[in-house]
Amino acid sequence: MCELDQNLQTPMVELLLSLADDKLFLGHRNSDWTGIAPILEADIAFSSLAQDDIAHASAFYELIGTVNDKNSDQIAFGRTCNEYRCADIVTKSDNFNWANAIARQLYCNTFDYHRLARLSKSNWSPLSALSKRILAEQTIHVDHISTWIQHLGNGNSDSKARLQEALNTFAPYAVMLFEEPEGLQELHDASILQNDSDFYTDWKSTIDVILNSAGVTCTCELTNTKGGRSGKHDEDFVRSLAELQEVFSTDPLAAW
Amino acid sequence: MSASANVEVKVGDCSNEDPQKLAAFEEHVANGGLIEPNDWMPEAYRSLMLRMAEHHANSEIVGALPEGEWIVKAPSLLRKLALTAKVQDEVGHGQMLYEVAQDLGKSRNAMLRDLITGVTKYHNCFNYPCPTWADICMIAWLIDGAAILNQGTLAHGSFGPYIRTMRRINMEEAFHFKHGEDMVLTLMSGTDSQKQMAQEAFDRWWEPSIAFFGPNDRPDELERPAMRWRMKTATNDDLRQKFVNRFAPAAMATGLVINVCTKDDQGNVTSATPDPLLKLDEETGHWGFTQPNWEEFFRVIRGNGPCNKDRLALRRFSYEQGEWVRKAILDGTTTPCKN
Ligand SMILES: [Fe+2]
Ligand SMILES: [Fe+2]
Repeated sequence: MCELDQNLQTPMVELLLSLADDKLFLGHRNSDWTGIAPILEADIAFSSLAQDDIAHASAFYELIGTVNDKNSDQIAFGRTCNEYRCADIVTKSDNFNWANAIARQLYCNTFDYHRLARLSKSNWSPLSALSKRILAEQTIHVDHISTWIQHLGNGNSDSKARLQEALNTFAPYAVMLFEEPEGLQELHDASILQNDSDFYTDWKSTIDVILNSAGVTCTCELTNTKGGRSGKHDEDFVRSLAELQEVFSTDPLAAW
Repeated sequence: MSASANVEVKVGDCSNEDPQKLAAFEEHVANGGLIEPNDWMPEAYRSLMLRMAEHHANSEIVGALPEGEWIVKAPSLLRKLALTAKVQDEVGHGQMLYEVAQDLGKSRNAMLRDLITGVTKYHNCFNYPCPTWADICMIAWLIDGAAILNQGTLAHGSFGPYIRTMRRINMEEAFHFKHGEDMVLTLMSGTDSQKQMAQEAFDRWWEPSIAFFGPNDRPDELERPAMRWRMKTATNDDLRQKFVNRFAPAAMATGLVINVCTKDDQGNVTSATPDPLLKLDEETGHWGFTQPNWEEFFRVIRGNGPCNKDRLALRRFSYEQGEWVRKAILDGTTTPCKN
């Protein structure tokens, strides 16, 4: 199916924004490490992940543009704070602590892996096609971050303690990734999306396997709190958004 | 962006070297031969080459800092991706050049430590401020453009690992330059305030760009070790003239004005007047230009430039915040985690 019903367009845009905004801001925060990561080789590799995420976000903004007829840069850069749909974990500051960056990356990358796997089964073909294509790269991200989890968890007692602390700090933010985009049920009701397993359970068992191999754990619980998906953002997001828009907003209509 | 090889080093004479070996070495180099790490070389050659590669590597990773700070502010998805990729390339250049230097006898960790403690230096042009997005555009255009000219000649040098690295790096620098040119053209065909922003950044970067090639040549330039041993294959003044011949007309074609500027201690322009010497000499094909303010240049090199302290502080911060990670995964070895 290529055409999307008029009444499903708003829920679809909400869903796609949650994905694209997550990826844009995760890439945004991770690109911060380019040039100053702990090891030159890690710097280069982490920068590739950031670039992939920004490129994935761009692809989804383009798909959104086919629905709402807007240009990708206008969508990515031109909204007010409460119009962004990312979960705040993506912009939660890592305070330039590599363990925080790795924990945030693990939670987000594994979440995205399962999200994309689910979306690749959509019967709206533009979405399933794009999700399938990106899922291949997402798998590489998950492998990469698993290696880091093992390096730090199995490194020495100091690195293990730092990693565990970071996992604990970011866990309450990780569950906010599961806040449902508005109108998601309508997409299910119209059979645009299918559910054959529980999203959260799938995700949790994936990270548990990875964390287990590194001797660390994640304790977390789903909540009903409203957050980023509903446009309610914290200070860290506001700061990231201000950076993102600093130059663009001096003249949103200009070419840069 | 990248570095020139203008490392001022005092090399000892070669009086302790075996005269026959030295003569064979010099003949080999003079005939265009390459030197490989395990070949015999005078100690002075080894130490000069090491310092050149180390200085170049330092410049790549310090050069990543001012641009890195602007990744989060890049004003479109395309620019954000391109700038991240560019800074990543510069870190990659640093990594490759540290390998070259390491094979000449100094560990990467020792080099990174010497950099943050101020024992070694990096290219002077990274000690100037980048207050606007247009500065990022000018760096990619002018400084990467200067680096390409310089490194193009270094790629004809005598040390095998260094020149092979130069060739790889130069392919990437060509992309950076194209990206820079495109950004400058976009600003100069944009709104009035974009044009003004570009002119102001150009005023800040023109002088560091022509100073990029290092101080004026000495009368005995060709006799000095770096030239005699073909570590450098062009003199500073020749490269500078080439740069001006290429970039002065290119800048004017976009509508930029080439000014002679005075600046305050923070690198802010306090006055700008069109360069009175800027004129094409039809006979030689050379553009005339006003020399950089060399007094200021040497003041910045000595560590008193507008941004020396910030750059080093960020580098030190990066080194220190990453120490526990290196301890955990490198465990004293030099094999880094590539995955
Ligand atoms: Fe470059
Ligand atoms: Fe470079």
